[in-house]
Amino acid sequence: MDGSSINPAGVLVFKTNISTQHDKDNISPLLDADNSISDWHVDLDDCDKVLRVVTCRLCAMDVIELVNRKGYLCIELF
Amino acid sequence: MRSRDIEKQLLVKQKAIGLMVQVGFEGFSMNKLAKACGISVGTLYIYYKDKDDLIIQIAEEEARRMSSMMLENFDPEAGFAEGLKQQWKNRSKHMMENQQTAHFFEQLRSSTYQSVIYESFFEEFKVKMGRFMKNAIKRGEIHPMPLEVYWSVAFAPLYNLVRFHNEGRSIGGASFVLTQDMIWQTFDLVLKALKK
Repeated sequence: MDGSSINPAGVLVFKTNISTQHDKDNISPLLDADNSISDWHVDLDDCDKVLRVVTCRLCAMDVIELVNRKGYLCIELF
Repeated sequence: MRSRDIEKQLLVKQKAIGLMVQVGFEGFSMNKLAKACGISVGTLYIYYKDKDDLIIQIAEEEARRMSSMMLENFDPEAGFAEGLKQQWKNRSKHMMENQQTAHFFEQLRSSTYQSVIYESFFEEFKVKMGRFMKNAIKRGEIHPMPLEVYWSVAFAPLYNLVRFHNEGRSIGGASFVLTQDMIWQTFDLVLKALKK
């Protein structure tokens, strides 16, 4: 395991504007289809609409780019 | 996982239980917890998917911990008086030393999370407790009775004393501290009631 990693479990966390179930349905085919993503979840109850992605291969920029492609805002949370 | 992360996760767990006991499940949020722990919301989401996931994970861990504490030095094949005494020792110790957790489980019991907790995580515990009671009936030490009746006589008096103790008050608001003498005095009465 990379000792310098701040994220040993391969989890990336983002603030988004994926606010409703409709938004979530909109984004899900894209995230489901990506083989590099082993699990993802959006917390619609949270004010930051936190997107949590489990991935060993993608970096934060890759996920941001994916989400942006559907027109949603996506900012990495540290 | 590195030790620093384990420590941080332990802090999160303790703070989460404290906060849930204080504000209830409704008032509890990931943001409030992050603030209480002095960590970012992002860090919290590394460990948990959302509030539901957090509550269930913490409840599972605590149920496992609680169940192993309650079974410490307990032999379901032991004689009735000896076995029940060990149960009283374990339960009073656990409930007085882990007040927050005990309160947390009270909350879970009356919430929608109830089924998640009670169906799976107390399995070993339930099996051993059931076997202990059945053994006592088989040996003719106690009368046959439904598990609920047994439980209500065997443990509810202790739970009530501990509740008075944890609240610091008894009937009519009088201040109260539970002593070992009172525990064992009550135990003797319970034993008398249950034994043939």
